[in-house]
Order: sequence, then C-alpha cells, then structure tokens
Amino acid sequence: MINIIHTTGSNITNLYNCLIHIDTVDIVKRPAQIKRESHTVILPGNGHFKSYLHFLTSHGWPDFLLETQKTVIGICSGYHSLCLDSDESPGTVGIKIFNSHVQILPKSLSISNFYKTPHTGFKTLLGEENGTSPEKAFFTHNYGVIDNHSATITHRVEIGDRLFVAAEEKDNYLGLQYHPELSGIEGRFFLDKIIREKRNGKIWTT
Amino acid sequence: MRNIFKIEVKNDWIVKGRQFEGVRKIQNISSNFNLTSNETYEEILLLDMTKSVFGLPPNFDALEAIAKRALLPITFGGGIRTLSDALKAFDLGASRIYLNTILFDNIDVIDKIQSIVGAQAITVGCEYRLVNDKRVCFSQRGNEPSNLSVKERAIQLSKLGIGEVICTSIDRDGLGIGFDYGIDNDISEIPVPVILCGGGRDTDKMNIHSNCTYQGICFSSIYLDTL
Repeated sequence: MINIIHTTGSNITNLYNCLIHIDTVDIVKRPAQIKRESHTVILPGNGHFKSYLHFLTSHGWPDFLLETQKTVIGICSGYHSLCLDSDESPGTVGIKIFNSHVQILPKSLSISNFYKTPHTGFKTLLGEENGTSPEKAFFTHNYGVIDNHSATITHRVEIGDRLFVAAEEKDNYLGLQYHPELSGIEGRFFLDKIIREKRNGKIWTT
Repeated sequence: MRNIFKIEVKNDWIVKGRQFEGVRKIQNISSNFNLTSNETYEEILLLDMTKSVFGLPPNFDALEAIAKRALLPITFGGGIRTLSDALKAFDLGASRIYLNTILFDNIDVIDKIQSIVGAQAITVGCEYRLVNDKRVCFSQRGNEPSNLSVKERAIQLSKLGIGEVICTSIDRDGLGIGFDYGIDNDISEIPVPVILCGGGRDTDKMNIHSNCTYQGICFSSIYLDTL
C-alpha cells in the first residue's frame, strides 16, 4: 500500500491516478491513519512552504517522518518540506531530513529573454546514465536547492546558467524537485520502479 | 518551448469555438479518448467556455474526466472565483488554476490562493482584442472590455504573485492563421513566463528561437484530431 499525505491544496488526484496502477493507494491526513502494510509515504507537490509545514506540524507528521523506516518520497513542495528551511518563508523550519536550504530562483539566472521564473516545463535530468530516472521530467517551481555537491544529490537540472538539484536521496528518503506524476507514462514507470527498488532494499542510482 | 493543448468544454462536451463565439461539438467528456500517449504536447489547458459568463461554479466534472486520462499537468479555469474553488480544483487534478474574469472584481483572491499553494500555481489569462491598435483585455469570455492593455494588466498582476500569463488573441481564436506575433513588445517586460494562444497552426512550431519573448505556445484545433 502507498499512502499520499493530503496536504492543503496539493495535487493528490494526479498522484492517485498515477500510483493506482502500481499498488493500492490510501490518502491520509494523520500518521495514525497509516496501516502496517503501507510501504511508501508520499508528500505531494503544490504548496507554499509556510502553509505546507503548518499542515505537517499541526497534524503530527514531523516525528513520524523522522522515525519511519518506510520509503518517504517528497515531490516539489514535499521535497522542500524535508529540507532545512526555505526563502519562501524565512523563520519556518523544515523537517531537516536533507541538509539543504531552499532558495528563490534568482532572476539573474536569465541568460536571455526566454528564461523567466517560475522555472516551468519538461527539462532534461542530468545524472548517472544507468540510474533510475526519467530522461525528461516536468518542473514548475519558484524555489529550489542549488547544487552544493552533496553526496545525497543524484540528479541535477540546468536552470539558466546554474545547476539545481532535481533529485536527492538519503537512506529511505527521496526528494524530487520535478513531478513524476505529471511527466507522462515515463514518470509513472519511474515511480513504479523506484518504489519497487526501495521495497527490495536496493540503492537507487549506484 | 512549452507546447500546450487547450481543451475547451461546454457542460459535458469538448468543443471548439471561433473568436469566442459559437461552438462545434468534438467529444463528450465521458466518451473514450486518450490523453496519455503522445509525443506532441506536454501540458493541458482546460477551460470551460460559459461558467464565467453566467456566474456558475467551475466545471469540476470536466476536470475529473480529463485528469483521469492525462498524466500531464493541467491548468484549469472557467468560473473560479474563490480560494475554495481553487483548492477543490487542485484536489481534483489541476496543477494550476486559470483566473481572468474574477480578477476584474476581486484582485485579492490572488494573495489568498498563493499564500496556500504558491505563486507558481496561478495562471492569469489576458484575453484580448485589437481595438484601435491597442491590445485590450476582456472579461466574461470576451464579452466585457476593460480599460487595460495586455501589457498594463500583466505587469500589474505579476507584482501580486502569479506563475504565468496566457495571452489569448480573441480575434485569431479558431481561425488557424498563426499567433499574434505583433504582441512581442507588449510582453517583453512581463517578468513571468508568457504563453501565446489563439490562432495557432502547425507552422508556428517552427517559429522558435532563443530570443523569443514567450515561453510557451498553446494549440487547440491541431490536437483535437488526436483525441
């Protein structure tokens, strides 16, 4: 069973429609609703950092997320919530799984009139050739984690003339800046594969 | 360059209009069609043609029907007026919501929505006609003119926290005569991504270069046959 956390304003239906082809899916608001047979918990995308963290803390998620052995996948805002903090809401503290600071995508990244933020659209992922990831994936975000050469970073994306984190992995946690559930059939195949590999205890990219 | 499929609906039907007037029925939204296996478009813009005109609730049935068939981002609009409408749209499968008519009456709704979901999830529609050489924005599905040009309105709204602007030429809608490239000067100073819509044809896909002032192109007629 896969659980999606029903955070306020998140795109849970897109995720549900994608994941239901992989396993049974249950949408939950509190950790107590997670059943023993659940193997994966997903923090969906869409959400202001402050609103997202307010939901998680007011529904008792931080302790669960820090202690669980289940696979945890954070998508876009869900990924940001697993980081230290974000420029989107100074003073709001993240769950601190990933030692990363989420920063606003600077307007100075623009190398021509063509590049504007939010960074939106299907973009090529830069990572290990044999790794598990879609070749291209859909991004839509104003904030992101700049490439800090951390060993937890598995894939990167070029925005303007800089590299940002596209995917970050640590133990049973996976953070994705892109939206696999909005990345066509390839995105669904990726989620299927990564969830199976995580269940089987395989390391994702190496 | 983002390539977007605009799907217009009227009640239970996918339709195609012409200059925002009259419609041709294409498919019932409950019929069997496929939006998942394609290499051509990467996003969907789903708009109901009548909800904003008659003050009716958004067409959530159409959103659910399209979201079930598409593993692609959906921008959803037509009759969204409140934060509650927007949150329901996100719950049902929208990645972004499209606002036009409501913003002529209540601009504060942008702040309410973006404080919950972030600015990237808000798309503003600038539906315009060429009036005395000025691109004048309209509300209520092209029925009510404003006193704002595309440039004035888009820059004003960009300061409030939005993710992108879709500029739709009502004059070109459904005619297949190409996009309104004369809009270049009006959109070059808009600080968020701009999508061109209205009149798109296959050859417009070739007119892409690194100095484009727009970041996406939105087609309807050329993709309706692929359903």
